Amino acid sequence: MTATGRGSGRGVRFWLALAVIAALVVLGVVALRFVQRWRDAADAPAPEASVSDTSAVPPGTRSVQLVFVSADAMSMITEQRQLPASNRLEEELRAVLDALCAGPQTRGAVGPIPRGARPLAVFYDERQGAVLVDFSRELRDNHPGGSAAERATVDAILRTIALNFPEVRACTLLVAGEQVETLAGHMALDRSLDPRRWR
Amino acid sequence: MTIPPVGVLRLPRGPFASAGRSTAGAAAVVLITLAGLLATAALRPARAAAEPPDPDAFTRLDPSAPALFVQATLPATRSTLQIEGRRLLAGSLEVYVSTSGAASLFGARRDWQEEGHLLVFRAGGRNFHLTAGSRLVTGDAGETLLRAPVFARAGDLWVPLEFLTRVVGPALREPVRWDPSRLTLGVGGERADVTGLRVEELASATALHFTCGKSLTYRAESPEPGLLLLKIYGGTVDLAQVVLDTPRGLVEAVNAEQVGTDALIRVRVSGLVTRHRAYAAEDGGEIVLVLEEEPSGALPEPTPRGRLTPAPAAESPAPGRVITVRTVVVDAGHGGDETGRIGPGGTLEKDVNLAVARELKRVLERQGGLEVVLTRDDDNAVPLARRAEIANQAGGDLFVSLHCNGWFSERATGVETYFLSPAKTDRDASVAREENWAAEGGADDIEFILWDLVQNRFITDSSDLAEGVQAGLCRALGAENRGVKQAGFRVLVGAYMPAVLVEMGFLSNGAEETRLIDPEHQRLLARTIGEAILEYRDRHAGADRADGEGRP
Repeated sequence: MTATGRGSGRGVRFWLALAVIAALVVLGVVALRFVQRWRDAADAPAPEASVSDTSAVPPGTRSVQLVFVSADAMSMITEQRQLPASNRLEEELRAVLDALCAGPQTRGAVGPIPRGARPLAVFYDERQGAVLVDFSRELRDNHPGGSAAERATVDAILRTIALNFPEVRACTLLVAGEQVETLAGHMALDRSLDPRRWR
Repeated sequence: MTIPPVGVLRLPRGPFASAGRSTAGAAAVVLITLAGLLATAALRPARAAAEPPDPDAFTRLDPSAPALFVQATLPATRSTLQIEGRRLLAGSLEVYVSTSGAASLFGARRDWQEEGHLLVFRAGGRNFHLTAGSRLVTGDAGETLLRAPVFARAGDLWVPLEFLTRVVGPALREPVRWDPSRLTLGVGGERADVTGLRVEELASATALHFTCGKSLTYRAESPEPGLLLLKIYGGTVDLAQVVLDTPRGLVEAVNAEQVGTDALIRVRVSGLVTRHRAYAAEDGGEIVLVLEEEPSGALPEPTPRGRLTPAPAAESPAPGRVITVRTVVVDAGHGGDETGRIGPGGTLEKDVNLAVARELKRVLERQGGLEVVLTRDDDNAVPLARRAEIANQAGGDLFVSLHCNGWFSERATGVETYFLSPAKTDRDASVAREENWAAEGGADDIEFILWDLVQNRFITDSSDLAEGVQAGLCRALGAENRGVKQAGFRVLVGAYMPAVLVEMGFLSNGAEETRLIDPEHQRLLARTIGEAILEYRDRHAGADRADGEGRP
């Protein structure tokens, strides 16, 4: 009885130890993927920069706000991040949109940018305060459809631009280099939009 | 944007934060993590399978589109020309002609630059710069954004006919008329039926007399302070005659534009003008627009706009204003290859929309005696811009677009009703114009701003109708009320009537999907929306007509 108990106890300990090792491996993989994604997104290896902290802005970075939505489609959720600063609006906007596309870190928040979509190019005309953002075709092709979802996609992009780049007065969204009428049949994108209306 | 931000949120602590305390906890974490990974992997193919087809099918280039012949008449020389046209944009009715064909109509010269991708089109002493693939036309007559791009094809650039009717014609002050049903293009004067402008200065008013060759339907309105628009339906305007460059009386400037088959006359008025009215005179031979300086009584401010929480229905209709609802245009969202949202059970949004639209047509015809026009009565892809065109051509009094909603998960439920949020408010529009004009000399997209201003006219009525539909649906269905909202819906742009878009439920939610495909539920939806429309009609009937609207 005792021997059996000790034997099963050893067995349990063995499995638990294995489980701990497996957990560490999974954790490691998750952490690696996270770091990789962050590098891709911000073009800078700064995993600690993703931790939100309003008090101190590390040198060479700027504090930005990213706009996501709640899972029930009723409200918007703003996340604060530190991203590399640049003296070129194009570069900063590109990094902000990359981070937006990568999705939220807040539990319960939904990233309304369709899977795989990312900004291909950003142009800025300083005199006009006009930006042109060219997204990859996934922005349209992977869009699940529905007014609420489509509005969330457009609103998240425009509001993120409005909150971080107050100098932008007109924004045109392109998909794979072309102007599109809508993403999924609802919101008019065949015109420039004024992000200030999304503030 | 109507949703306030929740605020700055800190990163949640990771689920592994306390996992080291016990190995049993760690085992549980592993199991949960593995289950999570498995679930993610299992979900992926399902999401991929639900991807909708390319919704942009009707904006692709179709170089093999068959030729059609455009009959061009040049009244000035009493000659007729036949030029080749093609519908190069897949799914669109936009007719393209080559620049060589266009040049023959205007006696234009073409100078090629950049190896056939940039062309200077010189006509009547004006230069127009065209670029392959671009919608922008630049030149000494300013910049214009076309609705469709210029294409390079068979060694020439092909331009949408809009380039001739909206850019070249106005710049040369030559009316260019396009009749899509007969494929005829009229270039030059003589046949205009809005042929002259006479300004009459009175004591505290200024009257503009527009000479018409025949009795025409018109509508006058003030979309923003300082601007009056007179739209003459089916009128061809002589752009060289209907123009005023120097201020006279209360009028600062007048210019005209041919918008399809209608004449659109823009009157810039002095800030002193507080009231306007329009009427037909001389047996329809004249449309008179009177601008008055001193109001005879207190007049309301220009139409309030952008109301997100409209006043109760009882005070919604402006006193003394009547809206006659005879024709309702019902738009079944999506169609053809453009399926709209696909439900978890495979339901296609376009099918639900069409079923309810047909039922709504029956309800409005039988219960309300209304004329109902469907933008589609079968499973066809109708381009979004075409839907507003259909509504305008049918002389619709209301436009109701029916849709099912969709979200990123099953979580969202309920009903919402939208009306158009103009791309810019009046004040923003004028600020934008000021800024752009100051910086770049008029590089703004005037066409869109104008249309948005025209849309503003209907915002109060659209919001009123949206409130009625939304309240009715929530009452009848017991559905979650997601509210009346404003957004820039493409299908509502350009509709010259109050317009709303109804999201009848979330197809992305399994329970709501089951209801939406139930014919009984579809009938309930149609009946409820129909009753809201009839209530709107009855609420606005009866008062005296006092805005500048006439159907002589």
